[in-house]
Amino acid sequence: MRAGDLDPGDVIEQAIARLTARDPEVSAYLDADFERARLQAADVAERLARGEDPGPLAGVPVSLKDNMAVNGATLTAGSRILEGYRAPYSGHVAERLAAAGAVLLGRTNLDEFAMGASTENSGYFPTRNPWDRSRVPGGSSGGSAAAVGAGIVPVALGSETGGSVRQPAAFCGVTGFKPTYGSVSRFGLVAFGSSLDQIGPIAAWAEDAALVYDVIAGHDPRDATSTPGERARALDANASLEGLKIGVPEEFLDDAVDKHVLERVSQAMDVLEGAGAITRVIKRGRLQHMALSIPVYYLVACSEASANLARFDGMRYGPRAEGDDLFEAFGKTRGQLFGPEVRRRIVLGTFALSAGYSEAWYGKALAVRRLIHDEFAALFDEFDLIAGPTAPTGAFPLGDKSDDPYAMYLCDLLTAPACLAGLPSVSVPCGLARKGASKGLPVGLSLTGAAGSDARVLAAARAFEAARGEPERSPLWKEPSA
Amino acid sequence: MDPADHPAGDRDVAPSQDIDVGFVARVADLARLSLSQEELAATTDDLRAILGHFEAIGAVDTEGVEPLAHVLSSSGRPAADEVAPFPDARVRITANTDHAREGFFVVPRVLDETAITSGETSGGPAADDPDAGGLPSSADDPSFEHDPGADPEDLP
Repeated sequence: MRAGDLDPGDVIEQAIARLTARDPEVSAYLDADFERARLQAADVAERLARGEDPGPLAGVPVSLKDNMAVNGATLTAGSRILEGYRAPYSGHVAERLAAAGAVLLGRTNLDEFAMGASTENSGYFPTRNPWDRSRVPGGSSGGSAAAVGAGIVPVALGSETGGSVRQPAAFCGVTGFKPTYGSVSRFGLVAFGSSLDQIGPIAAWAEDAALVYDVIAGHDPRDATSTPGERARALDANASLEGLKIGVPEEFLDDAVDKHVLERVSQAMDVLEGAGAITRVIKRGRLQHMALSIPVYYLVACSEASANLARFDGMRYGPRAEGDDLFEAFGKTRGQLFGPEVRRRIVLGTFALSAGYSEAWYGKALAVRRLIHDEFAALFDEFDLIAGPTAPTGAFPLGDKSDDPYAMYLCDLLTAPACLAGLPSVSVPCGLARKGASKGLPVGLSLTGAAGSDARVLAAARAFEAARGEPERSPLWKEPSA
Repeated sequence: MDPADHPAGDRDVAPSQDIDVGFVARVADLARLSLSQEELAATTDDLRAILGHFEAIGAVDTEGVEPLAHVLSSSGRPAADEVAPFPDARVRITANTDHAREGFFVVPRVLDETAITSGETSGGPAADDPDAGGLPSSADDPSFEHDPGADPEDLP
């Protein structure tokens, strides 16, 4: 578009046509304001016509998960408790994207308050996988991953607390990147687990994920956990694997991982090796506390959520259940409008933080979090990157785990550690499982780097994609639109 | 939190099998979540099962390990104490509720009339209509303006 080969108006119309044709198949969007998108595209076109440069994302349609504030747009966080809410301001990422010329198109579905691994916990409707509509897209950023996987938009933003960008990206056959904690401002993101939450891109190509990361990363004084200083630009990093030391801890090759997923990851290691990387399997034991990532992650995230979600009481925004007094109104509003998983996590977090128990549960979880963090940090003294599968399986059928909360929690087994340690981590598509329960479904290769090495992680993802070739695309992606 | 109000006193650990419906009801109450008996029973089963899996962390020797509450090396500097412009704040902020009047949120009563006259606070009974009686409402006073000094005289 900046070269004048494409018109932003045409591009947004094509994206709207794809959304209109394909979204009924996947239900990726909670809301889409086409007129607003058209106006933004027209503005970009006008600036181009005046000879201005609207920025690196000029005219590119980008969809945002519905837990990121865009002034005047809906912001439900997938919850009935925020039904009808419209954000009175734009968050950091929305501002950055608009300033880079992007056209914001639609609000994508998510597990309520980003709590889930399948998008089935949305308070509105489940999203479906563009590869197989009887299966989940992963979660909690399932709407964003399905929108990109279905070819509706080239890039969308997700947010991740324990795997919510990378796991749905893996399930939908696209790239998902979770930045180092503190790289991207959380200003305007509905808080879930504040010491874990990060916003990251989900994109059809690793290079696009890098481009969007460069736009949204950077210091923001409005988020006290936004780290000061410049970020290394991901697009400037040398996209070469030559001499890169990549370790695969045996803890990532657990029995819980589908062997056909492992087969694809093993082939991906060959691709990395073929492109000049030095790969080694790291003997079991170096990450001896990684297996405890699930209890640690859920105790920490739910504790933080129980405090963060205290603000939703029906008094200042959203629907309100009537009660005879204030506390009854609080209790009824929260009891009726939060979904079962959110209520479960609030109870769990309230319990873990309560007097008499907080040392044994929350305090203990923080101590084990330190051990997990230090074990990963020690690996980066020897390796540039840690590799493994993103998720233990491919996308599972809808309803498969909805009756067993703990089974759903185990989906985060391989992604939660990087969140607990605050590390940058990318999932890149590495082929389709050949057999078994995940047959024909995309598998994600996970590459994780030391804190602050976001540019290197994304460069490695680009290099892998270049060495392997364009990822397989979903049947929906290939459908002609309108 | 007042330990006396706490569901389980001063125990160091809560084995998952000790968790019963009454215990979960008190935790839910702390979290201001009204749950039906069925929901409480289901949440109790879930919590018991989940914490049963989570008990494994108790076996880790964490003697002398400093807890890691967040990964940042510094806990962030306080933001500059500057007011950022936010035009039409009252209109924009109250636009998201049906329970606003004259730029204020209308909430169920917190104080009853006795408390107002005696100067005590109470979580006691309140009238059905949050706007009736009790606290003077700015909405009832045509001379009211958004001057922060204008209404405290009416409060206990």
